[in-house]
Amino acid sequence: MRGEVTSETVPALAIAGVSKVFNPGTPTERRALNGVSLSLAEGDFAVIIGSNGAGKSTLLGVVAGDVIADIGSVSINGRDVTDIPVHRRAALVARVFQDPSRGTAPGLTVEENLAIAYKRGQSRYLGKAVTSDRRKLFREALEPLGLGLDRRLDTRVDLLSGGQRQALSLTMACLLKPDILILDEHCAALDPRTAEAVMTATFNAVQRWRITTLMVTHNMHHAIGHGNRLVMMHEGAIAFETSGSEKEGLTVPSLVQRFQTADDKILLVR
Amino acid sequence: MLDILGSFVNLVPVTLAQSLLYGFVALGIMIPFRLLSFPDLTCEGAFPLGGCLCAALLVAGVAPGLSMIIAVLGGVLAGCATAFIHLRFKINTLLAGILMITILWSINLRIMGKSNIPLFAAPSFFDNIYSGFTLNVPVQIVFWLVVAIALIALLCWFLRTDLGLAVRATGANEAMARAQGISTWAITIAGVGVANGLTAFAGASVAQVQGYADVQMGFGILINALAALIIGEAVVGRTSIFRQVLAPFVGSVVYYQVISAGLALGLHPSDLKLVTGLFVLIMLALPKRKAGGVALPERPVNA
Repeated sequence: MRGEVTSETVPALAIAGVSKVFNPGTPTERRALNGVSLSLAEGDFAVIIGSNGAGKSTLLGVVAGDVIADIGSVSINGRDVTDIPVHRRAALVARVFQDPSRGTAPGLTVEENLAIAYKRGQSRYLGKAVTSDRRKLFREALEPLGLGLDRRLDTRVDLLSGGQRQALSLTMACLLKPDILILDEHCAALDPRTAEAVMTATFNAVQRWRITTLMVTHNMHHAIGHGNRLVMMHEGAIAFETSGSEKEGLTVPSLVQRFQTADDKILLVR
Repeated sequence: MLDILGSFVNLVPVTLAQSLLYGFVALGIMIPFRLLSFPDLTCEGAFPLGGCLCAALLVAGVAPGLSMIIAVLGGVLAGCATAFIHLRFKINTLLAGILMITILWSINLRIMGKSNIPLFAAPSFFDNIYSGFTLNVPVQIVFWLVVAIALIALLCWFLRTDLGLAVRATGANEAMARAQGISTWAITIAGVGVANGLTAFAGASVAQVQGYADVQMGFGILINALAALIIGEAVVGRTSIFRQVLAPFVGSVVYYQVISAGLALGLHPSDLKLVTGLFVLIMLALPKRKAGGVALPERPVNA
């Protein structure tokens, strides 16, 4: 059962031999994943890099549940989730998308969005959604971001800036500690200053709660500076993987060097 | 001029009672259109379904209360079916609604066995509550007002619960709702069902108040209800849950008084649908940002 198994025996995330072909048997057939295996221990922070079409987003989709693998399996803390749809794995997985509007519900207020996240993956009944206790909790969760969201709890989310919405999405994802946190280029659409603020908040939250995290980024500095695992994908497979002290020894030029050997399209040092 | 004014003023109470009742249909439109982003046309069939089902049961000697409940459940089922058709077969919501309306036409005729049933001799649910209900306009107004206020209060409370937020999230951002573990299928099917239950309730009530059910009853009611909703939103706005839930009733009251005034001023009854249709068209055509302009929601077909 979830939570009863120690991290020594069962990986937090185990992706085993996953392949996915989109539009099979048609002229637009595309092999997105080709026998990908990846295992993360609890508390691992894996950064995934790779060019467009390398299969990064498909891999995240397989973990989140909106892509169902053709072959192979995915398990989270020992529980096989390979065929479980998105809404039934939400208790295990939280996700922040690149597009700030995807993670929040417009027309609902900041505190109402947080109240939805507060029940992520749980049954929802007829209890009041925003109680004073919860409001206090929400304010405390938003305060460290330093974006003033803790004073705008009753503001409708569609009136917030993209950066504020993304910061809210991140807070929502971490409000209940997920077994796996998925970050899909979540800072790529933000201006540099906001991106740094959201990224700092991300690392703080991940470290504080020791959340097992999968992050896709095109930012080589983020890829090198953070996380204890680095995975480079190329044409639907893992081309290069490093961890621990070897990863710490990486520099941007050495990483770009590796990129060039695999695919010279990926010189996207932002 | 005084004659015109007089005939309008004389009709104000009757129109008010009628419009409050039709407010339930406008509410049945608001829930799918505004809360679920599911433009649902089923009400055009659910309204006569409620009337026909209730009338057939009353004439068959079924207790009025039970007849009403079954009529409402019939509407719920019709709404659920439309939502299911959209979700399961990935058919556009509007087409799913039209399919349902077409199917319900035959079902309504089957239920009644003929195209209309007079109810003058049958017991009515409302006469059980207050004898002479159907002839007593002030009692009707008070009754509908109480039911409407209770329903508005219930919805305002519900939409602020954990489950209510799940409904609103499903309409606002379906992908986000699913990622938060909300079963958007269940919410959509139940929501569209409840909305059409309200419409069927109005249909069953109208049949009893007017004393007959007809398979043609409520022809064009969808556009009337949409016009009422648009007017209501223009009057009270959509800036809070309370206003959004109140709008259908306010809009319905205003809409039917305006229609009544138009008729008193000599508007030909057969031109009513033209006028209402053009009104809705103009409101939809207005730019979204401009005050009063409204947009129909669109629901993407997804897996």
